[in-house]
Amino acid sequence: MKLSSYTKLPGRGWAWTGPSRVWLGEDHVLLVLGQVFFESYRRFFLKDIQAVIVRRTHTGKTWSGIWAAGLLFFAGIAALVGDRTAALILLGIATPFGIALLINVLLGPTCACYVRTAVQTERLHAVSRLRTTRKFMARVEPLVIAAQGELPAEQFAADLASLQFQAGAPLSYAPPVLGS
Amino acid sequence: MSPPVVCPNCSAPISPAQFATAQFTACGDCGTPLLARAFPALLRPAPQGVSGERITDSGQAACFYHPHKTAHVPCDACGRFVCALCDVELHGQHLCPACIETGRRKGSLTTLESRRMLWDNVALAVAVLPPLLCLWPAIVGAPAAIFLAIFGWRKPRSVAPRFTRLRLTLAIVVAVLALVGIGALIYFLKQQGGGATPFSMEPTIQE
Repeated sequence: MKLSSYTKLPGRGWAWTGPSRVWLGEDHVLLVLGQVFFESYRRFFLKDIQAVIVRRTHTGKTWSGIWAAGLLFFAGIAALVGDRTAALILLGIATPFGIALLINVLLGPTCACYVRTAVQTERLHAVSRLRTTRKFMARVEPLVIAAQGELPAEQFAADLASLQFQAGAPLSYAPPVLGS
Repeated sequence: MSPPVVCPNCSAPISPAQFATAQFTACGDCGTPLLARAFPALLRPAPQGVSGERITDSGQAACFYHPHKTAHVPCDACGRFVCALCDVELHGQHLCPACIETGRRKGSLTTLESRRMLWDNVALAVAVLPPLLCLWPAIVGAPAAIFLAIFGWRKPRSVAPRFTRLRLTLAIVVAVLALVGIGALIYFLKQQGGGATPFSMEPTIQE
């Protein structure tokens, strides 16, 4: 009945309801979802995590497009107007769009990270950038393996292939590599 | 055995070859770039539930909740004997259902908590929002924020590390400043109106 001490895991993001963060407890990963005046928690015990699935998303590109459109729109009007004061005001409006675009580009590509246990598959909204996901996986993966024990690679691959094949996954499918 | 791991986009089973690579590969069905990692828990059979054994010998200890079942283990919190059905293992402790329920209600079993009120956010919102909207709602908002901050001071904080007390202190400071501002405004308005100020130290001259 003691309180766990949590350490910060890479990742900070937003769900629909509010900010989201992930923490590492003694034996579990804690997902915190902020809801203005409340916080809701999801716990993924290291011994229960069955899989981590990462899906690339276009969210980052979409936001880049939005920020770039805003930047071009206001900067374009600023270039066209003759009045110097008006141009400066418009450039002032365009600057936040430029900063947001720069930050978005620097943060890198976006993704959606899912953690699967026997009873749920939950999206980790806090882990939404590819670089963060790599850091998150590098921290969590060894702990999950340490908690669950490592199976012989061949046996694990064969059992996994059997499980996926029974569900209809093609065994002969050679997936095209789409980059790291 | 567990159900298969599926693509989050199209729910098609992920190909076994996709688990073997550390790079993004296209889903066989929808083409979404995926990176999948599987762990031994995926192949572990689901644990079977146990119902507890019936008492066969009159000398056997019985479960507190099921008198006809043999005691399996004593509860680590209350010491009552419980059968295998009632035994709940949590963080290496064996607890009975009543202790689980009590721990969940009182908040002593933080692992079972799925939601908590953020009193610091409530106090801050009540302290900051009224002065932003208009000064007069702060007459009610500021004392309410101070009350909420004091009330929330000893309430359970966020499970994860968070600057709760700092936010509560900030709410009190903002509320006090708002009250001082309101007081100053009332004083200023009274001065402008030409009436005697309530805080004047000069003695009034009786004619």
